Formats: sequence, C-alpha cells, structure tokens
Amino acid sequence: MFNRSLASVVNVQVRSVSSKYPRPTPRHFKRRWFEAALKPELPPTVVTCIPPGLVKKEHTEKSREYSDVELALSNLVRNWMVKEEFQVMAVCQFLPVPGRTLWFAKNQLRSKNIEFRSYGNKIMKKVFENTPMSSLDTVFVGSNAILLAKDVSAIKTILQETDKLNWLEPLALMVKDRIIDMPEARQLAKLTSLEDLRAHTVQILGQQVAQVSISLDTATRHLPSLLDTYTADQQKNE
Amino acid sequence: MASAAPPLGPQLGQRGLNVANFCKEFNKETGHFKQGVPLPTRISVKPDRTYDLEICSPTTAWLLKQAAGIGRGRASNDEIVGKLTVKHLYEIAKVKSRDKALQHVPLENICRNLIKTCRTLGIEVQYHDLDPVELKEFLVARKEKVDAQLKELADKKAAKMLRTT
Repeated sequence: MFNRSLASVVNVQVRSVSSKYPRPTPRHFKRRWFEAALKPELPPTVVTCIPPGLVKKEHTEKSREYSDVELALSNLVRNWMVKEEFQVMAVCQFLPVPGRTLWFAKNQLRSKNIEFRSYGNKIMKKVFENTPMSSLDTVFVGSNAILLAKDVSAIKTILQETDKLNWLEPLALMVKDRIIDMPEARQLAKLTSLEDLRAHTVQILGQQVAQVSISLDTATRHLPSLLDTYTADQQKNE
Repeated sequence: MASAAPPLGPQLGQRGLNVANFCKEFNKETGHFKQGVPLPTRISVKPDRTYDLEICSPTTAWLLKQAAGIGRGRASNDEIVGKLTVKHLYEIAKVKSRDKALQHVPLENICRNLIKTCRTLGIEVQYHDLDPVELKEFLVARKEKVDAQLKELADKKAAKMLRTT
C-alpha cells in the first residue's frame, strides 16, 4: 500500500509546476509523508546562520574588487584618453533617456568635437587612480557620464550643449590639469574667446611692470631735487 | 512598393492618415530602388495628422547578403556561408553612412558594426582580395549544401503536414 501511495506522490513530483507560486505551508500530508520516507536516503543538510552584517560586508568587499574585464576596460579607457590628448573633460550627471535620443545626441555632440562616454563610476575611479584627477572621485556618485574635448575653447560648447539637454547636467569641469567648478566655467564661457583671457593677463602683468618702472623713475627724479634742498638747508644753517 | 492593402493600409488608417497619399509619396521617394529591397522606414504621425517620413538605406544584413551572393545566413555556429573583403564593407559603410541615424558617426565605427553583423550572418571577412576560382568553388559547394538543407526542411514540413496524431 505504501509503495502504491509513494508512486502516486512521485508522479505528482515529476509534474512541472512553476516555482513562482508560493508553496503551501504546512505542506500537504502526502508531501510530508514523502519527505519523511526520503529523509534517510538524502545527505544531511547543514543549516548555517550567517549574521546579516557579515553578508553585507562580503557583498560590499566583493563589489569593490575589480574583475579582469573591468581592469582591462579601465586600462583601455586610460590609454585612449592619453592617446587622443583630451584637454577638457566635463563630468555630468546622466539621467535616464530613451536610447534613440541618446544616440542622436551623441552624434550631435561628436559633430561638435565633443565625445560622450559613460563607462560607470567604478571604471572611472580606476582610470583616475593614482593621478591628480583622483580628486574627482567625489563627483562619481550615482549615474554619471563624461564629455571629452580636445580644445580648451570647447568649455563654451559643452555648456551650450548641456543646457539644451535636460538629461545631462555638468557637475565639474577639468581643463588641462585644473578642476573648475560650474560658476567659474560659466564665467569662462561668457568670454568670446580664451585668447581674451590671455590678453587680459598679459595686460595686467604689463601694467605691473610699467608701474614698477614709473615708481623707480619717480624716486630717481626726486632724488636730485631732494639732495639740492638738503644741501641748500645745510648751507643756510652754516 | 507601398500599397493600401493590409498590413500597411489598416495600420495607417487607424492613425488617421490618408493611405493613398502616403503610398504615392512613399513610392515617389523610393522610385529609384528596385522592387523587393527592404527599406527600414520610420513614420512619425503628428497630432494634426501630418507625418514625417524617414526612409533609411537598405538593411545591413540584406546589403551584406547581396554582396556575398547568398540568400540566407548561417544555421549553425561554425558555418561559413559567404566571403567578403574589407573593400566590400567599406562601400557598404559609405552607403549606410548617409542614414540619418549614422550621420557624424565615424566610418570606422560603421565598418566595425558591419564586421559584427558579418559574424552574425556567418560571412567571413578577409583583408586580401577574393580569388575568383576559389570563390566559385566555395559558392558551388555552398549551393549544394543549402539545397540539401532546404530539401530537408521541406521534407520535415511535409512530414508534419501528413502527421495525423
């Protein structure tokens, strides 16, 4: 009788039932009966209790490690950035956007000599590791993308283009070896050309030099008259 | 060639477009193409029932298959169905680069994508020119194989039709 019942239960087991439905608790008595009969044959199951904190710690440690693919990608990105000699980099917040819109925007940016890349924060942190640019790590939080350009005057273009795109918001700019915050970048973008800034600097430096020479000249001019006055005073006293 | 017959007619009619006018315009725009060329088309219907028609160049897979002189792609992973050279890919890339979606995309990137598609289709891409004698031998052998495959498929289909249980 037991064999006959077991056979029917086994048939029930073979039936493919979706694992998406919750199992009834307590299990049906046939199932419990089946499990009890099967228990001596099965290997003993060891139930271990892992504290939830430990699981989390393991998970975070694992997520911090770099796989071979990630290391290779970060090397590739670094070499590409060095080879292409990019001078301007904008780190932007990158919000979700339909693929087609993103594709067209990328092409549009490329037509203006701006390269759009989104590799993920983990990769970008690895790319900038042990370089002065690692101070940008604080910006790489959440969903980010970078815009790269080879010309310094692209600051203006980057700001103009990102103003048009509501899913791309620049957070910080890096020009050559300097990190620029957004208000400063906006001020730079207002200039018609960065040559103006250079001319302005040259002018200021020129003014300083001129001022020094004028000051020295005044002293040399005043010196004879002062001496004259001094000698005249001396003669009067004698 | 567009016609008002299903499936195009009812689908456009549902969106309130004048099907006859649409077909006329489409046929006028694509008059310079041979019949049977698959042209990916994107129609965006505006609320005032006007529409934008974006007709792209023929599909990459079709162009590659035409260039390789084959009718179907690979059926198994290790099958090589045709051979092309980088020169063919360059010419196809130039055709594809006129598409709206591929404007400002470097030709190199388009060529790379073409190579990927070739791999999917089972077409071997080689750097050197094709040897005509070798290619002919390959195509003849390939034709025999494809015929055998098609015959097997037809037999299977016939067996399925005849099956009663």
